[in-house]
Amino acid sequence: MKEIDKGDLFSLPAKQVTQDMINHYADAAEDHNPLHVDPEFAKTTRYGGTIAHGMLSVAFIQELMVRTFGKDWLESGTIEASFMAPVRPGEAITTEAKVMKVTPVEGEETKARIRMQVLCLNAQNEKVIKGQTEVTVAI
Amino acid sequence: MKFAEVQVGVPYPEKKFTVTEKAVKAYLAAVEDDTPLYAEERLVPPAYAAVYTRWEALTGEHLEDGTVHAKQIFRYVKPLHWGETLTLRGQVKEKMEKRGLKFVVQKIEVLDEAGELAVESEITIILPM
Repeated sequence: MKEIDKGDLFSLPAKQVTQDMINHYADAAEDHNPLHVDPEFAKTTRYGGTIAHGMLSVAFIQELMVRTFGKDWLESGTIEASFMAPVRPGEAITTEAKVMKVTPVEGEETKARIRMQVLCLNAQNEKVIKGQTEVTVAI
Repeated sequence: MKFAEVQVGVPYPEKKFTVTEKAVKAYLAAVEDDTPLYAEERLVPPAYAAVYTRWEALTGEHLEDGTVHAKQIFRYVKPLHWGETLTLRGQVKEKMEKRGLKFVVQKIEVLDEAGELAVESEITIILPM
């Protein structure tokens, strides 16, 4: 793997979140909270309409982590994600990660712990998810 | 889940959860993720933890319609494979009222088929008004 430095940026191409995608996610994730899949119910909530599952966007972040770090992510990754704003059907979401810190692992001179700030952004560049990830990689 | 009845620190009985190949493929299709690694090594995508660490998977309790997911933490220790049967154990870590909202933090540990810790999850939810 190429050397990773503070300030490095990784990103995924934008994903279009449609109501269809939300419905398929609801089936796959076994989460049919009507806030996500029932427009009539969702209208009565403070969101005024259906919104995507927060974990759908987290899946985008995780895809970025696995594409970037491979099995290292499955063996040492941590993610902490806060849901900042709803994702509404029809929105395109971009996902990016910025390396904030690279710390050698004590006692293991061939490994480093990478800390990243991760964001999912809508088309207006508003944060829908903000978080932090960490992973241990070979250096 | 009624906020007043939520018990902090009381472990739920352990539950088993089998991650099937079919379910993993459906999940990857739903999130439009075609990362080759998963099929190459029959690995469970780490994001699939959202499914097996659902509160309902452990407790059988249905979260009330309108419950909102506020925050999520996952820590991955060991990869999981298609067909593996997991052991789930968890409890409510804390509950609090803030700004008129009712928050509940749930912690779940996931053991792989060998009985070793594979994933930890901490989820913060906001109960409906």
